[in-house]
Amino acid sequence: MLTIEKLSRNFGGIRALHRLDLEVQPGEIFAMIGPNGSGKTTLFNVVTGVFPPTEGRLWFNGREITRARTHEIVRLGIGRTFQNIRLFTRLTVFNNVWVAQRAADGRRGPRAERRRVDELLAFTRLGDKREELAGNLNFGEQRRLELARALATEPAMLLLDEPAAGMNYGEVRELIEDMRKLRQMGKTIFLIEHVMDLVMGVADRIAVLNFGQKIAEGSATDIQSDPRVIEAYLGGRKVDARNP
Amino acid sequence: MDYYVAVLSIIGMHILLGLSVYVVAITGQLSFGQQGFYAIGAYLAGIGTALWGIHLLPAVLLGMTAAGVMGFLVGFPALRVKGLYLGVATFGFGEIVRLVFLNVRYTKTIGGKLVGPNGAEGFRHVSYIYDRGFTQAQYLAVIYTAVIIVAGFVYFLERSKLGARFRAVEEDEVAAAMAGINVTAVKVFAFTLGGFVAGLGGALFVHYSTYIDHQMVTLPLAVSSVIYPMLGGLGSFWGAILGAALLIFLTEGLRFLQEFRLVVYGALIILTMLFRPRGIIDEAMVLRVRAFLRRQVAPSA
Amino acid sequence: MTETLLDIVQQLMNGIMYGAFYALVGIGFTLFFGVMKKFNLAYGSTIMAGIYLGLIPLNLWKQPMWVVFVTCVAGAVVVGFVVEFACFRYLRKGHELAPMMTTIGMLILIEDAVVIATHAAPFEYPNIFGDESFELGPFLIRPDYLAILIAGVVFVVLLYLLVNRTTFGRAMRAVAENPAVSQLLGVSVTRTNTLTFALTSALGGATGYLVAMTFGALQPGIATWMTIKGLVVIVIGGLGSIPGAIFAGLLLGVVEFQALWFLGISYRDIFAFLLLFAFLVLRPSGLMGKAA
Repeated sequence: MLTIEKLSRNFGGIRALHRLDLEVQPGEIFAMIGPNGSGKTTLFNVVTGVFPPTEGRLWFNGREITRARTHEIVRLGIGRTFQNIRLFTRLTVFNNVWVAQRAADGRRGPRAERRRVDELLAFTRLGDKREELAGNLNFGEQRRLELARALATEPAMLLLDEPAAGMNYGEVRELIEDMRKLRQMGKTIFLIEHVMDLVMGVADRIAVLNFGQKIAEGSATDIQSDPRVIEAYLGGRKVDARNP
Repeated sequence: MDYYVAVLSIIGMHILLGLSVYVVAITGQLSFGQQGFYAIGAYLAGIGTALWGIHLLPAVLLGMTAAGVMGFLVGFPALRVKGLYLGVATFGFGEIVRLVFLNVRYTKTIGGKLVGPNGAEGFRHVSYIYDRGFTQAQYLAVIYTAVIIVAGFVYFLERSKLGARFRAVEEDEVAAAMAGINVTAVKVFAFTLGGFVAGLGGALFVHYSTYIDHQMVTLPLAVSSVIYPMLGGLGSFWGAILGAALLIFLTEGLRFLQEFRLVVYGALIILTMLFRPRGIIDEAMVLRVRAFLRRQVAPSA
Repeated sequence: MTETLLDIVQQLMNGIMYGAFYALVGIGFTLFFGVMKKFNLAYGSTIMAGIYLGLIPLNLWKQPMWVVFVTCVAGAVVVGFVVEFACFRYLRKGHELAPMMTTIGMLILIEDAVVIATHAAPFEYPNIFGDESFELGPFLIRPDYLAILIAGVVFVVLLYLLVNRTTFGRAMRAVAENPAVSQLLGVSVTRTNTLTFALTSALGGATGYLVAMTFGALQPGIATWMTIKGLVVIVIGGLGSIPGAIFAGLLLGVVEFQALWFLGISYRDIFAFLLLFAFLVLRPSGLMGKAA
């Protein structure tokens, strides 16, 4: 569904992404993990057209999107949430979702769109906060609103950037349930995450990034026993009290 | 009585200026150049009735359209800059327009008088409405019909998805793009709309005053037009209306303040920014009012 | 042909000298934005207020010009504090355009206050450098313009030394780079900002003193005029860059004087703005600016 070919992105002298090859299959939940600064969010930014790639190409459902603009990519069917929540705090909860709402499954017209927004708010359990200012929501509610807004673009594929960050155990379990429901609805999910409970709980396949390069890819068990992954997370040096 | 008609007329035209700044401002672009579109509307509508002999309505439409097209053209380079830079750029645009009109000479002798834009001397004898025996009181009705139409249009815009998208763009352009919004189209459309509205204001003004010159459309008008929505509030189009009415009443109505007019303006701006940065009618107030109205309609809901 | 060439060079020289004034105003704006990350649109009125305050020792107490100079500088610093207090100190965080609006309010307020205080009567600064241009080969040099250029160079050198060779300069650079970390390292951000404000206002006062002499008659409207020039300079030169402001100020001066000589006064201003536009369209970050 999403094909990433030899993708590089440099910022001045920093190679945030280096000749990355990746494929996300339709209908799967694909997770990307890696230490902080390994380039995960940069990858999302390049895929969604926030920055152009320095090198390499991108395809979505057979169409090349390497130099496409963000809103065009979204209209092709990619939805995205942000790691640091970027809601429209001065808009109501309803409006946050509504501005993103497109005609869904051939149902057109303003009234159909508004009904769809309410459906999405119900799905993300925000129905009773409909007329609240998004800035007044608590953290968990804001995360769910981000998801509702991304869903309103009627995406075939969702890019979720650390959706579980800051969540407690109960919220993570809810999130796992939501993601499974989304997969049942036919959505493909491409996930960046640090919370391993979530990753191991839902991901079909996992890729590990370090310094902008893919160092491992496979199932959860494959990843956990891969020595390169262990080294990337824990470092190769022995930790010594006399030589910290 | 005549005096109140005059004040209300001025308020009406300034409301249009304020609304033109407002529609652009809610996409996050603060334009200090709307007076340039006002000038375009004024000069072209004036040329229409005074030099080409066409009627008021087509002339006003001509002025509006020219200003609107200019707004469209300005909207594109405006995309490249933000914040103060945009303010300076739009002010620069306004100044270029003003300076162009300062140098334009397009006159005809009609009925023994020299009519038409005449460089530094301005554009006199745009006397269409007075020639036909209309009074200022009757013209007041024309002005406010225009105001109501524009305000109504903006009202519906604000309640629409596009209006919400305007505000989304203001708050976070990247997130807006990620919500599928074509940020460029929204911002350029806002400028175009602002151009139309300001052009309408100018076209109406030149027929009211029969006169326009370059000095009337420079910095003081730029600052006033921005203050109206910033003071009145960015939460709703009512803010621009409130701002224009309030400031003009304050300075015209309180004659003893006339001398201190700008000091009062300046102090008001400072105080508003310190205590209520989004103006009097800000988004929070709009929400409270809407919630209140909803409770009135369905008290048991 | 040589006649035209001589004219071009003459106006080039005038432009560079007068452009030094634009550069100094632009440097003031740049210092505010560079260190405090805020726009101070009331700077022009601070300078103007300093000039007008200098009229008090000049006309009322018949003091010599050096006293007037000190008054200009001190007066600008005091007015600068008023601006800082009213417009910046109590501003809530998070509204980037608010300082822009409050300082516009202050600009309007101060300008009108001076109009009221002086009843819009025209005042004049005696031109201590003399009215007569002196000859340098085929060219005429206005001594007051030359004074601006020389003073400009001196001020820039002093500023450079201050910013790069003193502890305070280090503090300024630290706060400009990263206020949060600077505080952790023991730099008082508030004190640095206040002193930067004072310094920039003082520079403004000194600049105002020099340019006041080139005016036939002073009017409070020079505050707005200076503000617009300063803004054009920082847009062209790039925000946050002092070398950019210098170059842009000189460029603006040159363009203006060439346009003034060859095309007349109304075209002079059109060209200034067209120059601005060209930069905004072609190079929005200015000549040397960091992206705003």
